[in-house]
Amino acid sequence: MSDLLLGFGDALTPVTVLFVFLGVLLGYVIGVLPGLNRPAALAIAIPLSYYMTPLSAVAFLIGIAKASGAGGATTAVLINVPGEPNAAVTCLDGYPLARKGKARQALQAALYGSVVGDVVGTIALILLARPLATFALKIGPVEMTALMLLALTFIAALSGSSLLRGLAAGLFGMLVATIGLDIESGTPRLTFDQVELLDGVPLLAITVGMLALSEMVIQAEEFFAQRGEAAAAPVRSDASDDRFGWRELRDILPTILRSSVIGTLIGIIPGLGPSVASFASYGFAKRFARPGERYGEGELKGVAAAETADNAVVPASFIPLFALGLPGSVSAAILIAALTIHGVIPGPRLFEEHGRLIYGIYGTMIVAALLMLVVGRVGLVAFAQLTRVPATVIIPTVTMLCVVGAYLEAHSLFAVWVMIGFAALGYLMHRFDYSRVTFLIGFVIGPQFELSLRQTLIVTDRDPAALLTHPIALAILAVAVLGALFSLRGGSRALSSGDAA
Amino acid sequence: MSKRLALLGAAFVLLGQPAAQAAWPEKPITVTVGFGAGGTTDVVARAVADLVSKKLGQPVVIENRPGAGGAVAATALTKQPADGYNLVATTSTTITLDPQVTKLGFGLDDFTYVAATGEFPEAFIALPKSGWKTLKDAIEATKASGGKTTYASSTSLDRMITAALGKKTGVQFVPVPTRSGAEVVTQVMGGHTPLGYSSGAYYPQAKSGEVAALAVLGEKRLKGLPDVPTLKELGYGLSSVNLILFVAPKGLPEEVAKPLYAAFSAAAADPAITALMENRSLNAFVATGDDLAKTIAGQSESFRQLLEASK
Repeated sequence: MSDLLLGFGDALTPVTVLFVFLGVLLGYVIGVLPGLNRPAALAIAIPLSYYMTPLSAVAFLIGIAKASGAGGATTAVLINVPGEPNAAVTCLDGYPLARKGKARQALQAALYGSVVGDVVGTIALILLARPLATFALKIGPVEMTALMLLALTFIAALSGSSLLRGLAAGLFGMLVATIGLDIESGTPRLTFDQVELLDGVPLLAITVGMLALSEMVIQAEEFFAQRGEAAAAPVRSDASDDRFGWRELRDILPTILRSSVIGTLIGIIPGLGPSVASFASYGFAKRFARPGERYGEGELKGVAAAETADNAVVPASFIPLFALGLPGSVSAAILIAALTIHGVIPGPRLFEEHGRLIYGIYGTMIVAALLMLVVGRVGLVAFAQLTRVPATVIIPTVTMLCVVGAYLEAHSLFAVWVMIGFAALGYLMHRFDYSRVTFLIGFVIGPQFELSLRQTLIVTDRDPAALLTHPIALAILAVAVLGALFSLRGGSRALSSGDAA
Repeated sequence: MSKRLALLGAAFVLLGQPAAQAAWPEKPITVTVGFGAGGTTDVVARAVADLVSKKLGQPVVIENRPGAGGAVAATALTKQPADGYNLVATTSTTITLDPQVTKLGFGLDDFTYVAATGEFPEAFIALPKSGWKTLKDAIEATKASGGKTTYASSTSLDRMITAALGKKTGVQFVPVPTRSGAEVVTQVMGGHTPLGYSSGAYYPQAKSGEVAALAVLGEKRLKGLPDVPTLKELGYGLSSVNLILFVAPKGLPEEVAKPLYAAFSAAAADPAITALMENRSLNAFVATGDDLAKTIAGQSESFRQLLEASK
């Protein structure tokens, strides 16, 4: 108990709060800027954190990890370019809302969703770390494979106008993800003797090229096509009903709460991460949409679903770390590094040995959530002005950020060329109506799916009967099959009603 | 602004002073770490670089260039001039093993071996409830139940070692691939594989007793886990030593190599580094220059033989 009070006291000292604030600010700005992503922010921050006290270092890093997720929605809504890969789904409804002149509403839904998701994840961490971590340990190769199959059924929900094209794009994403060293034999696959490709195509180069740079090409094309005519601003910000009040909040609150739970559960399981959470949460919301909800055309709940889940992941991914000393995510691994450099070894005895520090960290996480709300709220007012910035400024700026961001990831021009190549591909996919988002899902899920499937084949000795000893996996598979059937039926119904309209 | 410039100038003059006495180094040295920020190699490299910088009187700048287990940074280094201003920090297996299993643009002769600081505490692990005290128990139990077992694996080094171990003992070790040492520990703790081979992530769990270390891979026992025998002590005649290694391009001139080696030996012997090693559960291992080159050549040769034997 005294540890708890002392720890929370530590968290509220001005220096610690200052570092959380700096972290939140840096994270938010990096989140907003397309091209610059969380890894870039953390790469800057880790060396700095070596020179801070343990709590300040962790506070700083947590601020970054949390706020970069929240910032990513801003440009997704305003200019259809996700600031972070996990905000890719936010574009689907956020940008249409902005085009209808409801940018503020979308941004507020994203912000409040982010904060609530973050708080729910943090509370789960504080209260339920041990039981949840024990549960996460039960997710072995077989269960993971089942989960991946379930995740793949969400491609259907996100594939846009044509299921077939959505699947094609998703499979293509998985194919690109197979580039690199074979996980089992260590043999290079499709690397053409390029040492840069041994670890696979850099994630940042793909997401930035596919989603941000290609979008800039598309918008530049529109811009030139409209020049001479009365070039209407793509985004209006004058809609009189662009307000976010209690009515809107009450409307989207159930979605936010559901998505918080989805995000927290996904966060606990190592290897899934925020992008999968936002895809899954959006797919879930869309599949169980009520009549009258028009996902993909500017549905506020779509924005909330995507943004809530990916933020719940961040604190939840610390659960295996604090309970068992095992990092469940990149952010958690970085936290381990920050702690060990200060002589704190994260492990099962963390609480007994460093109780005060852990409660201090919990305290800073709550502080970070509050600061995120403040910074996000202020940022919203500032960034809403972005809609008035002409395309002649936005397009070159974003293009430059894309190049810088791709370069920063590995300090290599190779990644920049890859990024440009995928921008061209993304443009072609857009032209021929193949979903870039399902490509990304395939690319993100592919490696984990392959790994789990191959692990499963090894541990079960290729014996399908072994499935019977994995009840959790069976349950997940049943949900996946039911979900797929449901969505196929729902899909054909939507299609026929579309024909009738 | 001009005041700030003046200060900056003064700082440069101060930093430049020792350089005025010796010919080398006369500008900052860059150490490129072959792994991401925050990993063991990065943490050790930064701490060592800090001390080397003080000894040489020039800033030592750390850059991270992760990829292909250090091979991306090593490849880039071979294209740099051998002037002592460009070094790479990576693990020794990046150079002694990886070129033998993957086609890479470098080999043993492409580097000058500057220093090694610290040895990874690789070990076989299992759940304590298995009842196994050492790897011998695990091997006997496996033999009794069909002679085949899975284990969680994360590097080509561990696949090679277990393949050789399998040949010697008649037990088939089937690797279940994972992406990191932490995932190896997760698989073992979750009970999904009976055994695991981890290069260091297991250490806190082993200390607290949630995971049992059955054998360590080095030549000596670990300071932090004195009861765990080495593979050699168990009579399997195998060992694997993975070091944190600093290298320069080949053909480093004598007048550069000498002060550089001296600075690294002094840094590695510093109490701050010893404490860091203990913290990270690394075994102390310091070598520079020709001694180190011999160690590396020996490592590479023994890996070659192991690869032959496991074919």
